[in-house]
Amino acid sequence: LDLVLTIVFSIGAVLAGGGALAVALVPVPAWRPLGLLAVAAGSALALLGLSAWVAAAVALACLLASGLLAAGATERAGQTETGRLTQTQVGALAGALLVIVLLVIAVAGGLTGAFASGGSASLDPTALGRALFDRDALAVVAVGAAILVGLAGGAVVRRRRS
Amino acid sequence: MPSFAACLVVAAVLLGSGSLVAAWPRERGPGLLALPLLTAGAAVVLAGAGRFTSGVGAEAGQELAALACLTGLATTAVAAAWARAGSQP
Repeated sequence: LDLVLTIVFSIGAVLAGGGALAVALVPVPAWRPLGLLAVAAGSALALLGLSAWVAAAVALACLLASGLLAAGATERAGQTETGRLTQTQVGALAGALLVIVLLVIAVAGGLTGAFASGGSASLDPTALGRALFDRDALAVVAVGAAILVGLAGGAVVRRRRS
Repeated sequence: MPSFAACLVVAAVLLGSGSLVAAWPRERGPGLLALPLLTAGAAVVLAGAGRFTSGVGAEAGQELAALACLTGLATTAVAAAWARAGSQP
């Protein structure tokens, strides 16, 4: 298992480093989303190599969304309606994937034994619920409040603009 | 098993690239691209610190890495909205 983790970490490190250098140094704007995609995938793989399964999943989702936001804001000047539609489709696809992952966690709780052998994290829905609403309840409330404030602020700004 | 030094090297590449993107005045927009890079670097170094250093548990490092990712996403969302509002005529 150590060899596998080392290989996974090395692949992730190369991918993340190459993507970061591409974003920073390549002058072609079309390469930047690809570089950000490589950074997201590589960082998630590197975290997987560190046996941080949950952090890898969160990093993949957050870095992909963050890269989409940053790339979209950067290239907004030359954006066409088609590009906007593509971003919406990508966002909808990411949301659907998140729902599928949550469904897999909720339904396939029998996979717990396979994933929890490392002892770092498990896909047990009971343990996930305890972690979210018992041990880290304050953090979950804080994140919920932050998301609520962000959504309300976004709605206010959008309404004022229109 | 990867070592803490390897984690530091990966994080240094990510953080250095992010700092370069933020500081290099090529165009106005691409400064935003630094945020995902800095977030990824912070997540890798936090997870590595939790995994390999004594005193900080592996789970604490993992939680801090996830928190860094969420904070980076929130910061990028706010910055993108700010840039969009600033570019409105």
